[in-house]
Amino acid sequence: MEKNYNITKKIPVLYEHKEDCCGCAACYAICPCCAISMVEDEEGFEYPQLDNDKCERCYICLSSCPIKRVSMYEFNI
Amino acid sequence: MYNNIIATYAAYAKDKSLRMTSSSGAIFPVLARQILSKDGVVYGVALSFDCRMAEFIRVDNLFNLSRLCGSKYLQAKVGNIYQQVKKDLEIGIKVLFSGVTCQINGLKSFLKKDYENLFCVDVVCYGVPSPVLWRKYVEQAEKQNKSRLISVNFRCKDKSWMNFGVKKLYENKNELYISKDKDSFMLMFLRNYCLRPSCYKCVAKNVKMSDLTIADFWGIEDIAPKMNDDKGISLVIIRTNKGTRLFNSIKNKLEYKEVSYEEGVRNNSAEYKSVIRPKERDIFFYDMNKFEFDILQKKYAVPTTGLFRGIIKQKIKKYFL
Repeated sequence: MEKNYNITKKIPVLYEHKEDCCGCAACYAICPCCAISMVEDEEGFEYPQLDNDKCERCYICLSSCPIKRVSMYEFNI
Repeated sequence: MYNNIIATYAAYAKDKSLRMTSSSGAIFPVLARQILSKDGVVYGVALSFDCRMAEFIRVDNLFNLSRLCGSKYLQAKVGNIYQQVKKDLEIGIKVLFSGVTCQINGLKSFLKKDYENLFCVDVVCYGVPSPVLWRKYVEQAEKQNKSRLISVNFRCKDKSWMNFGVKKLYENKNELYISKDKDSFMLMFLRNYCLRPSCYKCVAKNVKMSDLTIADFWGIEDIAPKMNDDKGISLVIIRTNKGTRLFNSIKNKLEYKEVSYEEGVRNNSAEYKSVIRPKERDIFFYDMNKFEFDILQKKYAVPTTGLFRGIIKQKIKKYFL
């Protein structure tokens, strides 16, 4: 089946360093493609893991990340 | 600082038995009962039945509410709870959502809009400890007692609220109380060895999106000594007009005193500041994945009073081995 998005678009980076992810799971909950799962690391803390094949590059995960939004100063809810 | 502060209170529930089932002054169950009495639902954190993890659950009756009371010193698994909250909100029923600050912010970021029927309460958070460490602690406790754990009270205040302890109940009816200064998990937690990396630079503390913040009112003995009976006093910070309305609706069930924000957080820096990442953190986790719990305990959870003894023992061992 052909996918209707441009796979040349970059895969979203949910977090660069572990310090940048509080594990709130907003990205997991909002992903319309169910491409994100919450997976424990060796310390037992959950981090979002992206399935590149399922991801449609809509980037809603990035705009739902409270940490990213704080750093972008657009926290206006 | 983005945080809105409308008013700050020292408060506790007039209902004595309700107060004893909560970690601080039982503000949360009073709020929750108010929402339930208006046919609303309450979301919060419960310890799983096998005591191995904390998770969010939805409560629509008084009977199950008790599972949400009392602090859990663990980061709750969010699972699909945000989606469930959204469904309830869309139907139009009142929802009280409680969690740590970053989870409130997570929910609000997921919802992407404000709902008039959503009330959010965050608990002041010190940082969340490693779930792997917790499971190791539970397994060791069960092995030592040759019985399964059926409940854990992280904040048992039967003896004292200010010097609380951890109370564990086993299937074989054994009950074990250990003061916070001696319990190995609490020692490793309060020494900051085992926290999530992001907790050492918590972003959520600067952007609290809740309507109300609740915590222990540490330092009440200096701010309002007459109120302190060592049975638990809450700090309540009102952040929104909705929070004011909710707090006003339960005032008749509380003893309370308005204080300044600075007085409220003078002895509770976790409200606004992250703890410092100790230099031992990396080696702690290396050891945690390598060794059994009793070895970790000997290395990282020696009570302060016995610390000197521990150091001597270690030196003797080193010398002879």
